[in-house]
Amino acid sequence: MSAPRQNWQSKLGFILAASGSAIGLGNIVFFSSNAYQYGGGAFYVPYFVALFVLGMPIMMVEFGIGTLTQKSFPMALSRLAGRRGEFVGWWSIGSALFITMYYIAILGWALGMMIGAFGSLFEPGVSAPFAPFAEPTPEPNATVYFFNLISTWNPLVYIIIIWLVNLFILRQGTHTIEKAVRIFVPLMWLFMVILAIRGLTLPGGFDGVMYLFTPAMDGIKEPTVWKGAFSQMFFSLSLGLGTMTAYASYLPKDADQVNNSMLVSFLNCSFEFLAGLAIFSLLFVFALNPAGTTLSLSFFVIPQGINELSAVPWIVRLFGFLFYLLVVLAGITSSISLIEAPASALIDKFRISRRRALALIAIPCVVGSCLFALPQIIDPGLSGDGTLGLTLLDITDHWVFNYSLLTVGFLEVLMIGWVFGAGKLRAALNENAHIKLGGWFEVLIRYLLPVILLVVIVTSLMQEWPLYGSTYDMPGYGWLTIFIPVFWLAFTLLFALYITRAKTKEA
Amino acid sequence: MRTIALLLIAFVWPALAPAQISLSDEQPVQGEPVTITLAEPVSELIVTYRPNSSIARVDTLRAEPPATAFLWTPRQAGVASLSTPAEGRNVSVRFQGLSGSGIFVMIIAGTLLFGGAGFAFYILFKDEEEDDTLDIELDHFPDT
Repeated sequence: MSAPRQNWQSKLGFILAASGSAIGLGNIVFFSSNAYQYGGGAFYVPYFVALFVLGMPIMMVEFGIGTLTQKSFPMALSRLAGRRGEFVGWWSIGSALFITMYYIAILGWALGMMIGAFGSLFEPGVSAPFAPFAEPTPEPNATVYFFNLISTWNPLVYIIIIWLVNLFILRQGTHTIEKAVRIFVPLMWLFMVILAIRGLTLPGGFDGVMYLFTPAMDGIKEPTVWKGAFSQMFFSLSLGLGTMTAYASYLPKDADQVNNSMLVSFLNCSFEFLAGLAIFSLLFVFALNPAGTTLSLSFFVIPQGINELSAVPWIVRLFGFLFYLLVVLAGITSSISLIEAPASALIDKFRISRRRALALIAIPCVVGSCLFALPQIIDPGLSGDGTLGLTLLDITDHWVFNYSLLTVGFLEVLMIGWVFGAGKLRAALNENAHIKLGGWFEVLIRYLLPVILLVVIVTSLMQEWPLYGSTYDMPGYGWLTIFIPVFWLAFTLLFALYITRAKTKEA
Repeated sequence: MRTIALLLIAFVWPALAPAQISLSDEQPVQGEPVTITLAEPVSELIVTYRPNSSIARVDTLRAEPPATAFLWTPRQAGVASLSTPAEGRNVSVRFQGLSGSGIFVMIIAGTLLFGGAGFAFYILFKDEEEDDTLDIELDHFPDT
């Protein structure tokens, strides 16, 4: 028995939910990590260009098709571009489910680190069952603490807790989502402002900020920096996952989606701006060097910096707790949208109840999340990721995150631009927009964005040899490097094919 | 999220180990010479500006015969790594004065982002009546 389609109680509720969806782990740490990797100031200018050229226009597309059809992502694409569109939509949902599984596993670890802030995270004498970390450390060491954490079964409990929180928030759809984001999103901003102020007031902190913003001309000339900036913008705004379309579908048809897209994009990038201030000041003051990306920065490097923030232990613990609370809150506001996207799609397609849709998603995904936290040590020398769970997560993340979002984005703009018609979407958006879109919007959707996305995808694929993860020393588990991408691709394609072929139950 | 590869331990771990390399100024300034002192004499000291970034740049300081002290004039501001075959550490090189272009980009970016968000909020609520509840009847929006 399906309930009538829901709607947001207020415009603010929608904006908080959509910005909360966009602002997640990627904004807090992935942005800074990418910005560092691509040379600080060399990255920021291309990143800014990407906001206007790629981020906002695709956000307008995803919001626009949601309100236009009042449907979730696959059914919206089905309506506008036929069966092929629905197939792409379900493929995107299938990939989003993989992302949801490991995203919540990461949030489980973050919850573990948050609890550890008042435990032994900032204390000396930690060790882990890996060759480099076997001896107790003379100083507090977040890296060792993290590896010890993931080699126990405790994270499975944390993962279950995060899943329960998500399902609790999603139990009544927009009604309960809105209640949660009205608390979580302002808290996220408050904590980030506190961290940014603390970073800027550290001796030398402002030099770190200058490092982020001073344009480095030698880097700006590098095509890889532009590719990194455009990818970051896509991931940062949570495009290509179906979440934005699902949320927008709960708005009335007369919503101003041009303005909503601008607002959510600006809020997202403003948050990243603050995150840049907080994290670059920390990196610079303590001469920290993020060698990897998100996980290394959030679980190894930042806590190391927090540990040196003060000689007073409770201040260090408080900042450590606040940082991981921020990560957990930001993660939950994103994960609820990752679950809502498939839930709303199942409800639209099969007219099932919300409770049933959530159960259909949660049961396999909780199992999947737990797989990503399996503590079995398969690489004791740490040439790779150490545990089975982290190895599964690392390789899955590499393929799913790097390729599914961008590929969906590419196919989405092609379908809207060439099958449905960029002109029709532009007209629909302009109908209720205060700021009207010009002809440039059609040029972007039809020509420029497909080319940009295709170049990013193809150049990334060309750098895929040797196969990701094949250099890790994992006796007996080397097959994972091939199995994971093949399984992901085969599973999601079959899933999309099966559901697209299934009969759509009419209202 | 993307790459997590923990080969990074190789990079992070030395930074966590006790430093055997010391500088006459622990926060050197771009363009101003500092003396680097090592525990053991070496013939080469490798300086990597912006290590692990796509625009990393490497300089090599040489000494003949091997020495425990090197004079170094940092060419770029930012994080740099100093390494010998036996040891390594990171150091933050400060900007020489304020970076005009950095402040310019920061102000423009901040103004555009926060100003843009403020403007979009203004538009969002401009036409709104006192109550921001939309109170939409679903029947007004039948499935398309």
